[in-house]
Amino acid sequence: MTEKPTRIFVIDDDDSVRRGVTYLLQAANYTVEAFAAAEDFLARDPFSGIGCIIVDVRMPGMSGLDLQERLNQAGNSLPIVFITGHGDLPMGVSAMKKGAVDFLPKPFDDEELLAAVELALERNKKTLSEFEDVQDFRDRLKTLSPREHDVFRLVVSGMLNKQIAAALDIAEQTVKIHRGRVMRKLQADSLAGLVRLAEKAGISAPEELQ
Amino acid sequence: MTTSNQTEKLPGTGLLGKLMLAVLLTWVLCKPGVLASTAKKPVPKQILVIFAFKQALPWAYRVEESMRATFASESPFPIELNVEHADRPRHPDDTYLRKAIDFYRYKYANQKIDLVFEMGGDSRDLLFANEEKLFGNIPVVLITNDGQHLPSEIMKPNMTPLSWGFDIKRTIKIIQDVRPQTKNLFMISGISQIDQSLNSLALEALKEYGAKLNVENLNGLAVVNLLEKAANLPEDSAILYLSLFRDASGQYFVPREILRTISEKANAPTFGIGDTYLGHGIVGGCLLSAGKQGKKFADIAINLLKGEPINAAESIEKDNLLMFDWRQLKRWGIPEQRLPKGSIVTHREKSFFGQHKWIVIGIILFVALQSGLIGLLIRQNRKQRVLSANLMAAESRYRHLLRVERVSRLGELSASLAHELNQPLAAIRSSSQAALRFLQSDALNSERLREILQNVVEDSKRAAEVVRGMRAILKRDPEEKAPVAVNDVLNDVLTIFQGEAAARGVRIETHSSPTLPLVMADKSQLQQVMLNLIMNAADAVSQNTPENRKIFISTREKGGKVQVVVRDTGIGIDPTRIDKVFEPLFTTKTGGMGMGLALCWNIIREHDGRIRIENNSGGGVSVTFEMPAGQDD
Repeated sequence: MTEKPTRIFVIDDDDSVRRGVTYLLQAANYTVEAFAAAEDFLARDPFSGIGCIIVDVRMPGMSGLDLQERLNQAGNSLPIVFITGHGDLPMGVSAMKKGAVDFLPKPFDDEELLAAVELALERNKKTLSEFEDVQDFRDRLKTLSPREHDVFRLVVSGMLNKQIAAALDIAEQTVKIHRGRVMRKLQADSLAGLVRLAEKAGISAPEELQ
Repeated sequence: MTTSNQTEKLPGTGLLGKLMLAVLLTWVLCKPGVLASTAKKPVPKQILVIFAFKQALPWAYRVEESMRATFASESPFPIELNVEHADRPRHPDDTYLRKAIDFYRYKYANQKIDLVFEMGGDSRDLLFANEEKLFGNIPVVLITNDGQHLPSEIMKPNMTPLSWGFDIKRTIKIIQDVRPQTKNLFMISGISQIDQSLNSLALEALKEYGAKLNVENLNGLAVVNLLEKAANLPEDSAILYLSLFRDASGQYFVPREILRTISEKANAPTFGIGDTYLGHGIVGGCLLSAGKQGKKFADIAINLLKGEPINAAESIEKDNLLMFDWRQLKRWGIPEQRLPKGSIVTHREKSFFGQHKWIVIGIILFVALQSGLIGLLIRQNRKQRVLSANLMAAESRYRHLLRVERVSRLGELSASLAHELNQPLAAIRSSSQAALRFLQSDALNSERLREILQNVVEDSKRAAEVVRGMRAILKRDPEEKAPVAVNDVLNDVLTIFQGEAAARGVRIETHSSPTLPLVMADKSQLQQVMLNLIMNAADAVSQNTPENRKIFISTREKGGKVQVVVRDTGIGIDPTRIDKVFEPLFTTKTGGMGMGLALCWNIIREHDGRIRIENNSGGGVSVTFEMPAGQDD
């Protein structure tokens, strides 16, 4: 999982700042890709590795906040570190609420920026690994028989075996057997783990049973 | 004899002349007045006046003058006055007299004399004894001091004796009236016959008057002694000056002139008897007027020539005047109220003002005028000073306002200026920290290091540029006008504004003429104008969609002027109000002061330039200003 490439995207219309930040990141041994406009970044092929975006809040054309909006809508998980020439607090709060890793007023120290980048990469890594877990779970879910799938959905909705048996109109013993298989197939070691996995995969109890 | 020949011829020529004249006049002239006067013009009556005095004696002169004037104005026929001066006081001897008579006889032999006046002092002194020898039966009027007392045996039928009208009695009374303290009276006269006759006249008067005065006759003194005496008169003395033609030492004088010397020396007031003395040392008195006497004699002459009898009983009072010299009154402390009624005070020394009335008035007027002018000038000057102080105050307030406006503009930009400053600072910090890290990690790549450091230098320059622009705008002191490149000013302003422009999403397009001449300008003021115009333009486009927030700025030379146009793409200005935009307090913005464009207008005007605003046909407004190009202006 960790062999995926790491990349920092620097987006700032100001050549000087862009250059300075690039040098700094390069000095910290990061691979850097710099853009003078958010639009240029969006024109690039989607990046699938571990990375983060350092973007200036205020730019002619698309601003940093606009870019955040766009990425969030697109489901892009690249974390964003904002840098800004003027510490605009409301703007920073708004950006943080929308998932920004940090909001750094210029001029900032290398430590601050690199710490923010570290954090962003950590978060990206975590996000990516969680994404992979869900992906695995979904794959395993596909191995369930239709009856097992039914039992799984009712189990995660919090029903007891007896209730499931009644709902599916099968013997309680049969429910127990299906349940055991589901647990094995989905590699869940406990009911709580199973519910958590299901939540991550976005699977909820069937509506007709709620 | 030539003379007899001439007398024989005379009637003939006279008849012929008259005839010819008459013919000529009736033929030529038509004016009856001229005709009458010329035709009637008779041969003038000849009057000979022989004064016993010498020529140019004031008295004789005045008498003669008055006679002439009277003849000229009052005689119905022309009278020719012949005057001789026998000068008897100087030549009292008989030989002289005989020769003088011979001379007169010879002189007037050819002239038919109609009337003779002999005027002198003493009858003995006159020529009447030889009257027959002189003029035969021509009527003679004798005027002397003792006319009434002429011995009858020498009087001929053709002679009429008359007296000068001196009223010495009255003068004596006046002396006592005006100087009641007077106890001693000193009478001054000489030894000539005229002097003596006057002296006896005076003594007679004194006797008649019966004055209680110690009278001393000073007629027997030489002038030297007389002067000494006069200077040392006892207290309460007065002098009665009669005449002094000749003193005891035989020296001759003009009475009026020696009077002046005596009076000056005397320690007592001097009184006189004739008006020609007045003003020459006498206090005054009852003075016989030479002029009036002359007139009287002239009237007598006219009457005699007319064949009318003389009114011998003429009052002498008529010819005497009560006259006083103001200066002498002052000198002797005689108050004017003591003077007899009807007195005339002459030589009144006018006050300084009276004496120099016109000069004084002139000077006063001049001084007043001058003072007025000076006052006016001072007031003007003060006004001017107040005005110029006000002007200076207004000027300084204006400068202050300009600066306040600049600062407030900069205040509006402060956020973006901070941004502008932070950008290079951030870059510098990042770049240098990166360099440090490279060094630390031993990944030293000199090529990279140089690149980083170069960028650091560039960024620091950029920061300095922003600061410089701000300082120029904030500059307190008004700069002297200096040659300025308009494009440089524009670039400075854009440096300051670009952060703000970026923040607002405004794009500025500039089209600067690369060959723009310099203009004479106060750089910070010019920056202020451009910043104002650009900020206004940015405000104007702020409501546009992001892609339409555009400002166009162009500079170019046009007809010897540098022209700058700032064009926006906003909504424009209401055409009914567009001509008011340069007025103070006019604003279309909600937060605007309305001073920006007014100040721009002032600044450009101060630079001999013009500024105008107009709505673009495609929307928005264009503000154009132009300034004369050239460094010399």
